[in-house]
Amino acid sequence: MPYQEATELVRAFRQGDQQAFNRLVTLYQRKIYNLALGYVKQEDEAKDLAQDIFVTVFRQIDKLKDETKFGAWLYQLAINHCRNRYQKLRRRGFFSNQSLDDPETGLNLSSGATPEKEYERQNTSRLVRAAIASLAPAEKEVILLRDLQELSYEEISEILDLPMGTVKSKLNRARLALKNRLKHYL
Amino acid sequence: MQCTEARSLFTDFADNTLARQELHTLTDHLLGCRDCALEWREFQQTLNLMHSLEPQASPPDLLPGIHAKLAQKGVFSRAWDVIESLNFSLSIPAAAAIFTIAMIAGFLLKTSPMEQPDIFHTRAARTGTLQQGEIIATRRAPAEAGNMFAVSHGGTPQDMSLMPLAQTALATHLPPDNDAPRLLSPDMHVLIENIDRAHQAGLFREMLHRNWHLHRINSDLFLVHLPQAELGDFHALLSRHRFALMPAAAVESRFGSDKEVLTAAIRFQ
Repeated sequence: MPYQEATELVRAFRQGDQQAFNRLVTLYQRKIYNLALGYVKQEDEAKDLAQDIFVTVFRQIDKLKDETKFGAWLYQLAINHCRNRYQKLRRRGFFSNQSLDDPETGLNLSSGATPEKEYERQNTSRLVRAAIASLAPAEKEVILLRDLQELSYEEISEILDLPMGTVKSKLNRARLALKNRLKHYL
Repeated sequence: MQCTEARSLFTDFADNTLARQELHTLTDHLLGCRDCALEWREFQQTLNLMHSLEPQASPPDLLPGIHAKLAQKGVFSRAWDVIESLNFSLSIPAAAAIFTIAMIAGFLLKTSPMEQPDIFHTRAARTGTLQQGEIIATRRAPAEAGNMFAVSHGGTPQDMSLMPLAQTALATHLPPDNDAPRLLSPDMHVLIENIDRAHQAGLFREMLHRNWHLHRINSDLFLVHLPQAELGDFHALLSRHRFALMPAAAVESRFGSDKEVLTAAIRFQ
């Protein structure tokens, strides 16, 4: 992630450059969208959640004290949004009928892929994502941040406000839990 | 090395960050423990599966949607954002106290003995077109203080002291200073005058027969929860007695139609 570019964009945005905000969204939208998807599992819901996150960024950018820490601040904000949305959807029973074997979208062949291989790849991807989504919130968070978002332990430690040793042990437990969920498919 | 300790080191093992001695101990354990060796293989497979996941592309309309939401936010949303940003918080007892003080202040300011309208009187609907030069008042006339209450049987506030209604408001809005359950804020207050115990019991029987929920606060003060759709039945029961009802709008069967259940505080005198 081009942190220097992000810092300059934040500075410009704060000075009133709306295009800088658009550029920030472009830089981070894929990461934030996938983080949201990891929580709510459903694409429309994830899109809505990601939009709400960036709306909050727009409204509360002045709360960011250190422009070089925009990434960590954005993730903290995003995780708070994701947690709240997850709880809200869970209370509504949004996740109660979902299982690891739920079929979702149809088969989309990428170039050069045979239908069988592509089916297997997409099926595996769906299963793994579903298994991650089914983890307890605290476990899911560390997996999403480390294994999917590819953040460093230092970054995760800063975002979650936890000592690095705690992050590692949480991550280990989460990975073991995920392994157990995927046991039948391994 | 115990199995639980071995498995707690899997992430460090995968990251290649174990100290030399720990690495040797773990490796020896995995060579000798079939279960942990299987666990480690499955752990690696799980990591490989996760790391092979391709991030999904974000929707193309994500940014336009953000701007659409920003444009939609109106005055109240922005005000709410400001309030949220202040991290303003208020404890429930403090909020209840502020609400109660505001209610009582408003109630006491409005209370004054004035002639009350007959609750069964209805104004004829306006018919016909405007006459030339006729002026229609566009500003709503201020409600008379007497319109706060509806009184049955042609009674007036002078005949029927409404202080008990104020007492009912106090009793049902003030947070309790003991462990008594917190009371719901009633939608309407009723004062029933000159009722003996037998008729009171009869009234309660009728309410319970209709499956309305009745709560006794004390011997003279009760709360009743009834479906809004049965408000007309409630009026019918009240009309057998001498009563005052606050607010006056509660005499309409459509009162509180935005709720499924209404709460009435009933004081007997």
